[in-house]
Amino acid sequence: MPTDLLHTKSRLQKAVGVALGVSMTVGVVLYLLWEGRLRYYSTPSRVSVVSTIAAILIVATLLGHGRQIDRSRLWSTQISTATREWRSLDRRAVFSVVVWILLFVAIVGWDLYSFSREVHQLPTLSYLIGRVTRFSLGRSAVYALWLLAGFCICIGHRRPRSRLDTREGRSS
Amino acid sequence: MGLSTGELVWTALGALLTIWTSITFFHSRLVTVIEIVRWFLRCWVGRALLLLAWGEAGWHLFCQHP
Repeated sequence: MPTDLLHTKSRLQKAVGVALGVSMTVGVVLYLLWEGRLRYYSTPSRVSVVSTIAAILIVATLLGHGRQIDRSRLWSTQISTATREWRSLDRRAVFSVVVWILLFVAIVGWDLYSFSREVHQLPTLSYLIGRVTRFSLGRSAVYALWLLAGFCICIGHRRPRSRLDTREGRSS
Repeated sequence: MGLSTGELVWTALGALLTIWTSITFFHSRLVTVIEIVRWFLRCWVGRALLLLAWGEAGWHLFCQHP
């Protein structure tokens, strides 16, 4: 009997999990389709984006509490140490980081230059993305990518919960 | 209907970004974009910086741009 009971409980848990997963997926898809129909400068679009940002910030704070890999001070110290002692680091790694920085500066710099000139011949990056987001499906797709990026930044690369935390029932 | 100067520069930058991203993924000793993001996510300050940029990008792309 207890085995049957355990089996039923496990099946019920699985069914609830699947139902929750399906409901959430349907909910997110409906939200994205609704978001795609919104226009720039409209109040619903602003409320929607601000609510999403607020929700992600709250979730990041709750789920990230006590689960960061490094302390911020140590992290900033690592930057200054690496900058000072770059000669002792792997040259290929240093070279690749320099190329990333140059690419980032080139993209941001060109975007700022185009923005400052305000001529049709020099479109900004957001203007080009606007060619996609002016359509409902395009806006939904870009919004989905933005949401996914926010979710990854929010919960990604956190310290695994230690045994001590689990034993004490701590959530962060 | 040719590309404007700005569009040409954006195409070149996009191509460079794609090529460099591919190169870094194929050479194990080069730093990939994923490693850079993971490095930012190691602490609150880095995570907050990324969240700030993400939020600003969302506000600009979905609320401001005509």
